[in-house]
Amino acid sequence: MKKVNDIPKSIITEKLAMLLNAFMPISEIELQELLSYCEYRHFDKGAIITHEGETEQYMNIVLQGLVVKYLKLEHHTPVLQLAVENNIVTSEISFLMRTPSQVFLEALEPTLLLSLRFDKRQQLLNDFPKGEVLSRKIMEAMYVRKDERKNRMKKLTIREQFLYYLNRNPDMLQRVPQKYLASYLNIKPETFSRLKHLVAKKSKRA
Amino acid sequence: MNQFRQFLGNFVRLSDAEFALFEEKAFIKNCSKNEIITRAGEVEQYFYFVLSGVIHHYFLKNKEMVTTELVGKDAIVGSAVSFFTQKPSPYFVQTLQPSVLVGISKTNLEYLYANNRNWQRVGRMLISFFLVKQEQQYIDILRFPIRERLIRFFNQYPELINQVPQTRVASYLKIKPETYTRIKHVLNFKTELINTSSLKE
Repeated sequence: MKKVNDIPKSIITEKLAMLLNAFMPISEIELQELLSYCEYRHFDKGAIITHEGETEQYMNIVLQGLVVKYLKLEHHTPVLQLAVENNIVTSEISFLMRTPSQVFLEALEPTLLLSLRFDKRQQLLNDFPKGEVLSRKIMEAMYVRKDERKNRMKKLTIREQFLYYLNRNPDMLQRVPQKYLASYLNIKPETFSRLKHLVAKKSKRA
Repeated sequence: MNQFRQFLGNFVRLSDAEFALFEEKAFIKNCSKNEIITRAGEVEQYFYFVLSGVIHHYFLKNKEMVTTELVGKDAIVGSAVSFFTQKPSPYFVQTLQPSVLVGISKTNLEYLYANNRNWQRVGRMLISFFLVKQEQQYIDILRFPIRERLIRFFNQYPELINQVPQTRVASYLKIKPETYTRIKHVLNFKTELINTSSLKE
């Protein structure tokens, strides 16, 4: 894998423009202004980005790498989110309510985040005319994604959920330790091993 | 309407004139028991605030009713996903008791957002509130054993205990009906109330 510092800034800007234009039209000048509120943060593989108990200071977009969000409970660590390129990830309750984070965020690969700090976000909301609407639309999108996932979890069988996710994210079998994937999909590890054949067979045929 | 204004006061202080903007655009909806407000497959055009009553969201899975949301007064309902995306709603929105709602159409809400900065803030704070509630619900399901989930739910919505069929609560909390019957005695105990109502600016 390429090292995270190798991505040229122009590519980042282009990607970000595409991402934000899905929410509302943003001009080149506005984009540069937006970026001036943000910072880039690098994390090594295995680094903890946010600890349980600390107040989340950042809202992040993954530019490169992979971030896992999980709870640390007594007997297991359920995974709430696997965030890849272009995904938004943060400990949102902590970020929005200024309460101690209930979750951990950890880099599963060398990771580059574009991050907006809480105080900068407040400035942005006050000073940047499109800040309010952009912020609302981004949060709406976060909500929709999670609601869709919740519905899938209630609607689909385990097998269907597994196929739904891995057909859309075929590289995740290689990128994510199996226990995390199984936990994210709410599948027992032994069932997961059995289901893996479904995907292997399919990709061979294709 | 005052009840809704008070609820909004948790997020943003609106002037009389600003709230009047809303009152001009909003309407009151009286619903009977078991009335369907939004059907699965329809595109949601409205957002509702619950003045009184009980509402749930559900979809049908092999003819079985699966409840994904269950709220009483001072909640916001409507097929939020469909409202935001303008795609067909994945679920039904239905009353479980006679209910009184304040509604506003997407067009009118967008009008408020476009013409008033404080309403823009309301919009952002409301979605923040939704996000927090959604995430907390999910974390609670992962974190708490079934008994505690039940206690937490009724601590949050004590008025619902006698108003909602047990099967709905069980479906919503992902508790098997037979387990529910076995453990419902725990509701006689009181535990600490969780409060997630104040977002920080």
